[in-house]
Amino acid sequence: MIKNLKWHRIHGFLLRHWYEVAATIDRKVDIIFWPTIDLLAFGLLTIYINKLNFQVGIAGAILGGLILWTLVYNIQRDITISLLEDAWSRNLYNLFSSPISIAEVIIGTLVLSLIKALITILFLLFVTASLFGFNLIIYGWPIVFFIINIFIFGWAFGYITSSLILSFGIKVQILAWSLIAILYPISGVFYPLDTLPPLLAGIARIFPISHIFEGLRNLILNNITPGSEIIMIIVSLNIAYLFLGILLFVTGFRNAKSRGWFIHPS
Amino acid sequence: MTKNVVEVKNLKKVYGKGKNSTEALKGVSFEVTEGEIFGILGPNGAGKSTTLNILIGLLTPSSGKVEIFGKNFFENEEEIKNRMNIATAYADLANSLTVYKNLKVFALLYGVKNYKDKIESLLAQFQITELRDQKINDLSAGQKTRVNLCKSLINDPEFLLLDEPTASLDPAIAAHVRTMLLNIQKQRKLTIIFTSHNMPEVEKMCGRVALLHKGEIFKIDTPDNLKKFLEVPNMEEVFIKLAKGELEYD
Repeated sequence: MIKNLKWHRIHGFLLRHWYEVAATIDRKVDIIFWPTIDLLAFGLLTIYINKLNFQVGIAGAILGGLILWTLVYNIQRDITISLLEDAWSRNLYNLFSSPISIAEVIIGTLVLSLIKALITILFLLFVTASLFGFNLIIYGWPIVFFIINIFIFGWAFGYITSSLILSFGIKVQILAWSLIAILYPISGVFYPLDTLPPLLAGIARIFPISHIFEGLRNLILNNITPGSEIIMIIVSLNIAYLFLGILLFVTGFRNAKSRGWFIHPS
Repeated sequence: MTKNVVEVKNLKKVYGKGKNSTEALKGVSFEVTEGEIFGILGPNGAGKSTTLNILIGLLTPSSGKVEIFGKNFFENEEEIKNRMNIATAYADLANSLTVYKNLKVFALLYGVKNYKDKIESLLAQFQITELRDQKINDLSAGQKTRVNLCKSLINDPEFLLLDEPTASLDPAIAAHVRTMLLNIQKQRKLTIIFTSHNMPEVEKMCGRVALLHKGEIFKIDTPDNLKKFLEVPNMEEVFIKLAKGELEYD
């Protein structure tokens, strides 16, 4: 699948979607506007929380959780939207009748979502530091580790969602925005996993992001860096999800080709 | 000796499974030689687009063999697709991008060097230079068709699929496009597979024509021989007989 990768084709794919960002207000809003609105609302909430004299660092844990959640949400949505954009404009026909391979599409979507998410996170880090005096970067390598793993899970989840669209068509396009939302209440973005009912907490533990948010809270509230066991759990779960995501995407792509979905995407 | 650019053998396509399945192609076979313009004629649902969609790699056949440039298409898809292209009335380009940006994206996808000159020259040939910086969304159907034709020639293909390429063009522009395509075809020995519902166009463009009905080929011959064989004055009558199912299998 990865033999004969050509950079010019990946470049063409990236450019097609980068032009989309430049040309449409919707995509710009996705990258900057909504993340900023969320951050402002939660940032102001944390100012209030600080006044209530809760545990030191609780505001930072909330803001850190929000930033990482925004990242995972945006990354998985961007993977799926890049497929939907070509379906909406009936361009899948021309795109996939060109020599671009599925491996080049996968690499193209990875790089595209990486660029867009980096813009988002840099902007959010700047806003949190300048408006709320909270700097996530001071926590060092564990933050970098968490962010890298958030990217990997976002990609994996994006491919899983895209595979559903390839299999069931654009009638399930709402999944691009909503499927990940199932994980929002159960992955402990703002509260510890032991807050959840035992069944939900058990389910949450099969997703690497739950361990990431738990680790982030431990880091900010208790200054505990993630141990090797947690690192192993996060990395192995992420590798499994990424493998599953790519496998499902490739299978969905082949099914779509067999059904003629690229010709009449509905 | 003329060599075959395309060889299709016993191509079958079944959509769906079990009771609800539809047999779109029931064992289609044909060859197209280098520099030939080969027409595929048939009423709606005959299997023309299904055949073309398989030949461009957008649809997986249920069985059968496709060789293009002497190589198995499905095993060498990327390499072969680099040397071919398609223009169809049934697809658009990215709506929110300008004509130039769309063509630049496709030039990169096909690995075209000096794409700036190539794009400008294609826009001039199709008389749409003034649309260069307009978004696809803002173009008329006829203008979109001409941009699609530019896309289909961006990589100087050796083999071109044209699926109703003049469907939404006014008669004057359609005639200009036909002349242009014929000139390019002669200059470069371009091989073309062509579908159209415009019978005079088919007669003018195609060296040989395959008559396709309900997923099967009835006959392949030159337009003149088909008219003689069916004892009709023009291709319009050939098409009507085909659509009514009045033809015998070859």
